[in-house]
Amino acid sequence: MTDLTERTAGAGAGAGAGAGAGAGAGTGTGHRGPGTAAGRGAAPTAVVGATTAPDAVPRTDAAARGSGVGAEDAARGSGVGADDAPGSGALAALLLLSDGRFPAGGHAHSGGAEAAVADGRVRDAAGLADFCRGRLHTAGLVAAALAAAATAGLDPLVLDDAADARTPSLALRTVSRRLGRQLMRAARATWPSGELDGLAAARPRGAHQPVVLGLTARAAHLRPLDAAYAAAYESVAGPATAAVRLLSLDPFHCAAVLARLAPQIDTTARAAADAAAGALTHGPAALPAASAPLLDISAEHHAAWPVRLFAS
Amino acid sequence: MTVTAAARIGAVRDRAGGTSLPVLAGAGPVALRRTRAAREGWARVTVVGAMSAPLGGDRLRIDVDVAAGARLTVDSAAATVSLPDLAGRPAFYDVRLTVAEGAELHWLPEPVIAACGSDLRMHTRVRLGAGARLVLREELVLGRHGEATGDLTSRLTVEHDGRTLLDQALAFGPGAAPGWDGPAVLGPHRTLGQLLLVPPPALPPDVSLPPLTSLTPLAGPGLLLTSTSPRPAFSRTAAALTRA
Amino acid sequence: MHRDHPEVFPERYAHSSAEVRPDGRRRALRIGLGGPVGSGKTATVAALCRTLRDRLAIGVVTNDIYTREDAEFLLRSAVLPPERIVGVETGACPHTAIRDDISANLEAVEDLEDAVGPLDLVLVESGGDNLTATFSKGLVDAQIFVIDVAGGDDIPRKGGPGVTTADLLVVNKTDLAPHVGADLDRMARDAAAQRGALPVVFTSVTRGDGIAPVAAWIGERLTAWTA
Ligand SMILES: Nc1nc2c(ncn2[C@@H]2O[C@H](COP(=O)(O)OP(=O)(O)OP(=O)(O)O)[C@@H](O)[C@H]2O)c(=O)[nH]1
Ligand SMILES: [Mg+2]
Repeated sequence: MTDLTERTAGAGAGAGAGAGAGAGAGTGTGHRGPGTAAGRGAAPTAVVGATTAPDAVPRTDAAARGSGVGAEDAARGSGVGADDAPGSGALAALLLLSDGRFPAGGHAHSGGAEAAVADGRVRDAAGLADFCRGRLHTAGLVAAALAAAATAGLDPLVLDDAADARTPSLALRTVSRRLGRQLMRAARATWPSGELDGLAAARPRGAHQPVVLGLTARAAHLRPLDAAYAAAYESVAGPATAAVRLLSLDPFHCAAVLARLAPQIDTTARAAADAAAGALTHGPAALPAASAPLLDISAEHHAAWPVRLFAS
Repeated sequence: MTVTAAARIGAVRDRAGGTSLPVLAGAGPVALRRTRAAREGWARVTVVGAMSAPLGGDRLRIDVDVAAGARLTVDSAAATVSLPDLAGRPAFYDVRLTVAEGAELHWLPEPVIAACGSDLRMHTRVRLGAGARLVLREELVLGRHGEATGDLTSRLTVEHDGRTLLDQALAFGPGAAPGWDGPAVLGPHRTLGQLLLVPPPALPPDVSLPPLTSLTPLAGPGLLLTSTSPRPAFSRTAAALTRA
Repeated sequence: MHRDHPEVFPERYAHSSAEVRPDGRRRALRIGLGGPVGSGKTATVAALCRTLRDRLAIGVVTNDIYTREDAEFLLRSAVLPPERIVGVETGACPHTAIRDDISANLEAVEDLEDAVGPLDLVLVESGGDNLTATFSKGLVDAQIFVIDVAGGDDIPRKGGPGVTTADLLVVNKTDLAPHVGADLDRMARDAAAQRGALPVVFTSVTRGDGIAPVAAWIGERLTAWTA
């Protein structure tokens, strides 16, 4: 994960720079939840805004993000817990959140891989790679953008509606809400936050998983790009792990498939974070809506199977 | 030579309980004909002419406005074939459908076919008032017979009573994100048919679907048929549902 | 978040083991049933339901390897109304769903209570697994490990977390002991050596009142739970 290294390096470099933050903070307009204090919401805008810097200039990018952190701190009225500051634990929190062992229910879901294997669409590691690529750039991109937008401070209920509109399959909406509820349980125990409590109360049957993921990242003091990474990675790690069980694939091949996808996970997460930044100004219509017809169709079929290994 | 053209159709309910068309304005290659409606109280418009060939660089737009109580069918005389542009520019095709409270629109164009080397970007925006009724069919065909496909993107945004009911972006072709022809997105299939019904009709209990097809309720008053089956199977199912 | 916050585990957010439901009612006692494939877990659940259903409001959560075998067996044998039985998918990893990531099972247990009203007892059956499978304390209040004599009379000697630490060890299918040449005395001695004071019952749950010792043990747990 080149991005993590980049950012760790950039954090020190950007720690003293405050210029970008002031500029960014003023752009904090758009869809905010009733419970989100404007001052607090503004800082993440600066952070997201910074990620729109061209990918080609990682140092500047990282430095800008470092300055965004300063603004966020100020907005939160606390001198500690700067996202990249040594000892803040933010990077470790991202690892914890995206660890497949984080107890949020993902292990029982194949992300469509079980149906694809049964139809003969995926038979081997190459097929898995192709499947993951397609999923990453469609469902993965949308999930990453929703998550990043929630971390950036867009109203989670507005995003929950946006997720509904982007999920035509009833089976996939049901799964997404169920997983959202499971993640909510884990998140509230792990990173207690009033915003998580608020969303749990507003959507007792579960909000869409990417929205909960984004709000969890926010509670863990992560930034929109981090949430996008977590969602994008999860969109391919889930099916890959499931394929190991479904096809008795060599687990080393499966890990290699994920490793080869890393550059595309990078671009997807960045595109998602950029879109989330756009949504702060232009509303949720600015979020991607990339759709994968075979995922949608086969999810409906899979949900009707009488016997299956995975819940989706 | 590229064209920028905006055609408009406006339908209103007349005093006799029928539907009249005070606005029927073709533009450039988009020619509009009033044709005979199959049902009492309805008006029908058929899109004809060179509209069947958007070229790279073209910007075509159709606005349809169905006022309260009016009932309109819009179809087309032939498939829309997206053709390549020597300069490699994309063509744009924007459709805006507004259906007022208590009005009904059947938007049933023939398929859009992405010829090899073409690049067409469609955006269909639908705004439905409370109690508006819609049947919308969209068929995408990737490549003419036996040829590789061009690039085709289609975004469909449907707002119902101020809430977004469906927001969906499809992107196929060599310029689309990797994996578009892989097992998660479209696989080896080269047609995608969709039929959206608002509000969802009462379905016959024995509705049977062809393979590679799903019928699913949206998170709101809509039902969406999606099929990567060959066209005849999709057309039969779509026709059966439209009658339901 | 301040650095100097005391480290507390916010159980009130997890609700997983909170004894009082958000609506203020005391939740049902949750008993997990684990054990190797085919040892008689579902038969035990079915027999418990038949014996206890007149006295107690019971719900059942099954964790099948395949989604609904167990749930459907229970439905077919009509031991409980269908809305009291729910199945949870485990993604080919039954022990994960009861131990490492219990979120889907917790949802199922809570949904049951939400859907059918207050329950006294919820039985959570694990998918058949190996001798290391145990339930998380975040999911159940007590667990029963079901083995059978036909699986080999050396299983108690082999031990493993299930045999060693379960709150009750059930050695089932004693009726088959003569046929498979199982030495019940030896099983009892080995089990006692592994488990110390923890109880062991030998039974044949599909025969007559074979479930009685298990039902009696659950009765004791319930008395303690509601005390
Ligand atoms: N002879 C005899 N057979 C039994 C007894 N208990 C269960 N069986 C039979 O053993 C078989 C397996 O029982 P189940 O209750 O389905 O076992 P299980 O542990 O739930 O199995 P899985 O859920 O697949 O792991 C069935 O055919 C039962 O009828 C018993 O006490 N004696
Ligand atoms: Mg069983």
